[in-house]
Amino acid sequence: MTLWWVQKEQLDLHQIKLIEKLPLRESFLIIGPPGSGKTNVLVRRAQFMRGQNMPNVLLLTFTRPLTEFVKTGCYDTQGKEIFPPSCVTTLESWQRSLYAQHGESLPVDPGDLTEWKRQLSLGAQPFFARHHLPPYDALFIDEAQDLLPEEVALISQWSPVLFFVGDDRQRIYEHTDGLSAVRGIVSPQNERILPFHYRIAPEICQVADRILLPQGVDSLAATQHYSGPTPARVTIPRESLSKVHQLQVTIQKLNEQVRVYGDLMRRGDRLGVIVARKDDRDVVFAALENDPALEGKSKIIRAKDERNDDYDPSFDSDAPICILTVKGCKGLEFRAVHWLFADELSYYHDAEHYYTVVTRAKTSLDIYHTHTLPQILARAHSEAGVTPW
Amino acid sequence: MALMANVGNESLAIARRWCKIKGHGWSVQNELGTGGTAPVFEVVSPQGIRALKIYDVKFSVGEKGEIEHKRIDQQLALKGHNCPFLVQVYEGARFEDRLYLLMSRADGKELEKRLKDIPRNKIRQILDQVTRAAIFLKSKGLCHRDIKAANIFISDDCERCTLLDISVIRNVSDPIGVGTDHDGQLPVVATARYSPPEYLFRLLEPSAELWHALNVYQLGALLHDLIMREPLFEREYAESAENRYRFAWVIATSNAPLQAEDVDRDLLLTARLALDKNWRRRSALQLEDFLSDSSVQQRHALNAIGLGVFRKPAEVDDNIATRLQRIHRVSSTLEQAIASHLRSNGATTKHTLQPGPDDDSKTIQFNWDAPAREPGDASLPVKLRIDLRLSTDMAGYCFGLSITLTLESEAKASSLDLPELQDGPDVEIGLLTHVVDALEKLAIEIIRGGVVGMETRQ
Repeated sequence: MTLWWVQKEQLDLHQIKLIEKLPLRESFLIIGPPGSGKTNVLVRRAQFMRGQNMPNVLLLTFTRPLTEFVKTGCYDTQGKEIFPPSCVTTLESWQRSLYAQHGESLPVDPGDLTEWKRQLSLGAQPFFARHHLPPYDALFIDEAQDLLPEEVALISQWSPVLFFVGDDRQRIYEHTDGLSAVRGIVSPQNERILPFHYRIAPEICQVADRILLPQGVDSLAATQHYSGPTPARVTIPRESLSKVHQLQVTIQKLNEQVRVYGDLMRRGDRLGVIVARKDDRDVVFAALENDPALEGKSKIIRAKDERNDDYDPSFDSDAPICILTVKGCKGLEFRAVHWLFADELSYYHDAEHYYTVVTRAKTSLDIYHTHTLPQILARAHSEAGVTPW
Repeated sequence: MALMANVGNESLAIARRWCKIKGHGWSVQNELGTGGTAPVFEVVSPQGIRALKIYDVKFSVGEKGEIEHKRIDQQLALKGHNCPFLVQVYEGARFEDRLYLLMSRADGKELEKRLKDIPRNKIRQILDQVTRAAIFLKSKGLCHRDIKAANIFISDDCERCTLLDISVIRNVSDPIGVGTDHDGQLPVVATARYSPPEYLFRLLEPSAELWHALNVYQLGALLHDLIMREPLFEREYAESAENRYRFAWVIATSNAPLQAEDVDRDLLLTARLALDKNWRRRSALQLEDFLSDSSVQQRHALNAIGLGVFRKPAEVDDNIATRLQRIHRVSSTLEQAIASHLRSNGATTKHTLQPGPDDDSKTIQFNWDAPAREPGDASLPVKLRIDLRLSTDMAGYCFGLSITLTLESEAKASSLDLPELQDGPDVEIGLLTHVVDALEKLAIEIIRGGVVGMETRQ
């Protein structure tokens, strides 16, 4: 089972329709749950358009790890190129390149991420009118729910044909309501839904469904068609554990999972360890490096690297254990997820954050807490088979 | 020497010759009766009186002979045992063209013949002795399988019982048995009478639990016979000589009356519990519960007034949490399996699992759009609904299923009720097969013109 569907027979009718049957010259918004193949549809649609004499396209993602992830989908199993990987870039990289090509210097970094993004987009507003560069035949944008209105405005300048995909249940950046902004430029008739999803096991769907229910659309459980290893496992212990203990338990489980999912991992699957605080990534990394069996097998994945272009965010098949933050895990998928110290920063975590983390897991989900299990998680899961006496 | 008129002269002659070969001091004294497969002779020996069974020709040769010989060997494994209430076996082999078995000569006569005049205050002791024999056999990994008043001898003073006819014994862990089922035929009415339903209908695989449940039932039946002074289901037995099915029905469903003013209450309670048709509940009783230990007696007396009765974990169908989890587990697995089947046949469905009208039932529903038959036509919404129910019968949980297929836009529907399936490790596969097969029938029905509300029952 590869992470990408490469044969047409593997796609369902809804996906195929979105790739081939939509008018070429109109903008669309595709909403779909995690694992519905949105990103896959994006890549395939972009490829389709390139094949229709519209080669001037870019695929914009949200973070560098996501870019790297999408790039892995640009080749089929024979290694033939489906879509040129160089045409996949982060939104920020694209904006920076606009500045560079128009000979302008970047705005001053105000320190706050959201404000920085806003400034970057606003500053690039006047460029199109200079008619220095041609507009794109089409632009394809992933994770549209996290776009700022300013970013949407900028994007809409640069192409008459925009293809957005997103999930209205996964907004995890503050002050963004990307879909409202997108709906301002995409007409309601051009909004489509991918109803089914294939990645997440039913047990995990049930947990996610208790956190958030997609508005007006069916639950994750009703629309799942998971075909991975069974049974899936969700473990959210009631008892709090010390950080050290959580690390110990996780190391044990990771060792087991590296063995059990070995085959899948050779074909691209990864294991995710998620923490709320950036500093805790280093703590986890140190602990994993200390374990003789896991040494060298893990890597910290930084979503937004402090503009350090030496940093290589690509996924390393020798280091299949990825350590990331709650905010950094969006868009990615892991065969197994371990969320440690899950009550850290819980004050800042909305239902959307919990939903996003939970839906990163395909087959196995472990969530541990240090002091108090957040109510949302306690209400989302209970151990089956426990008798009251 | 008084001989009965219907003794096979041939068997008698053989018995005499056998004694002659044994030597001085051995002689045939009397005929004791026919023990199912053979006449039994009372025989004098230098060590005392013995019983010599000479098997009929048809049970001595060929395949049947092989089987009987194995059974004899099995009984000889108990040679020299120290249980005073179980018949002793001394010798068994082939003599001329017959098989034979030399046993102890039990004191007295068949308990069945003396039921009417057993003193009430001896009931407990009789039960105790027979139970000890059963416990002894169990300790050897054996089960008698035919404990009944007809197979028990009681001494004239009612002080001493002997359990006989251990030819039917079965090794508790032996799944095939030593040919004791006569080629798998169901027992005749005579033995059926003392068989519990799950044994009579062979509802369960042979296992330690099955034998335990059987022992308990038969001891309960014995107690019934002693209390009521007549064999179990006597009236029905008399009426059903020609109709074994009717008799089987009686065994499966009716409760023998068990009333007496002059018997200790705890004995009545024990008999009722031991004759429970539900084998799981019945198995909560231990063989020790039939002994007359005063501590056992005391416990029974307290139980009879509702004290000290604790639920045993073996009572599966009283464990509500387990039952509910079972139906949940089976229905989610079934939902997955059907969704997967439909998908592999081209229909990606929305699927939900909802509670049914009560906690023991679930409703699984699948919705999908069938592609339009003509281009330009609208696609056809299809709905498949499965109603799953869990119930309990003698053998445990079982699942009932009904299926409905609906084409709402064309106002067509058809449905089927399917036969129940026994629960087991792969019951979901059986249920899935039911559904897949039914789907074909329903599709044909509906395309032919089913109408909403018209139900096709099969």
